[in-house]
Amino acid sequence: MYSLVFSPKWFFGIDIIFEIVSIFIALLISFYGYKIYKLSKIKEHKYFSISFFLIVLSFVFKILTNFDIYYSVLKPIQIGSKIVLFNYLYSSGILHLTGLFISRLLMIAAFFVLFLLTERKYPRKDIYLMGYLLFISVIFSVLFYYIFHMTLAVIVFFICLNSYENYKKIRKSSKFIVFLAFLLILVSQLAFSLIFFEIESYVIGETLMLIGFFVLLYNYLTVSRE
Amino acid sequence: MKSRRDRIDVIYDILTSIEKENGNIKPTRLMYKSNLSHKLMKAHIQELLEKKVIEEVTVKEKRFIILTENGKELINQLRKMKRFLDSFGL
Repeated sequence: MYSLVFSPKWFFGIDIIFEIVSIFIALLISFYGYKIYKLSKIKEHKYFSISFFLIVLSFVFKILTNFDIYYSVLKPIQIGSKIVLFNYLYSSGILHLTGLFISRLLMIAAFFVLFLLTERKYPRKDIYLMGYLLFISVIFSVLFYYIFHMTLAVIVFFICLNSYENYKKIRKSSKFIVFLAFLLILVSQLAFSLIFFEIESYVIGETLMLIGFFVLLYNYLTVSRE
Repeated sequence: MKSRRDRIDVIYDILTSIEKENGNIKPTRLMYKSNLSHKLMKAHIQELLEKKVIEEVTVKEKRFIILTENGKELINQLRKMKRFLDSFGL
C-alpha cells in the first residue's frame, strides 16, 4: 500500500527529532503537574497532568506512524511475467491508519481537557456532546487530514482566549508566556492545515509547534528557578 | 477568581505564617494568622508534624510550633507551584 507523506523529503526524520524534544518537555510538565496533584489532591491538577501525558502519548503514536511511513524497503512486484524490485514506501495500511487515528484522538483529548481546565466550567452534558463531536471529527480527519488540524486550531484558539483573559486579570510575564506558547501552537495548526496547498507548511507547522513547547519549557524553568 | 483556598493555599498560609514570626509561633496565634478553624488547623498541623515539616517544642511550659529545614524547602516549592499553576490560570 502506498502512503501519502505530508512532508518534504529533506525533512524526513527531522520532524521525529522535533517531536521527541516536545515529548520530553510535555513529560516534564506532566510530572510536575502530578507532583502538584500529589500535594494538593485537587482533581484539576490531576487532569492538567493527564492532559500533558496525553500529548506525550499522542506524539509517541505519531512517531511510530511516521516510522512506518518512512520505512523504505525493496519490495518485489510482479509486472506481467517479470518480477522487478521497487523501492517504495512500505506501510501496513491498517496499522498506519490506526496509529494515526489514536495519535489524533489523544492530541484532541489532551487539548480539550486543557480547554476545560482553563474554562473552569464543567457542564457534564456539554462535555459529553463536545467529546462526541470531537470524536466524529477525528474519524473524518482520517479521510480529510485538515479537519484534525482545523479542529485542534479551534480548541487551541479558545485556550488562547482563556490564557489571555487570565493574563488580563493580573498582568504577569509568566501568564503572557503561556498565552504566547498556545498562540504558537495555534498558528502551527493553521500551518498544518495548508499542507495540501504548500508542502513546506509542514516544516513551518512542526517548527512553530516545537517553539511553542520550548516557550512552555521556558515558563516552567523560569517559574521553578525564581 | 478562586472563591476558597485550596489545600496548597492552606498549607502555604500555615507555613508562611510561621516563617513571618521568625520560624516559631504559638498554636493559637497560628490559628488566627492562617485564618483556620481549630478542627481544620489541628488536622493540617498533625499532617505537617508527621512529614517533619514543622516541630512542636515546649519552652517554659509554653507550646511553640517551629519551622524545620524541610518546612523552609516546602515553602519554596509551594511558592513555585502556585506561580506555575497561576501562569495557566488554574
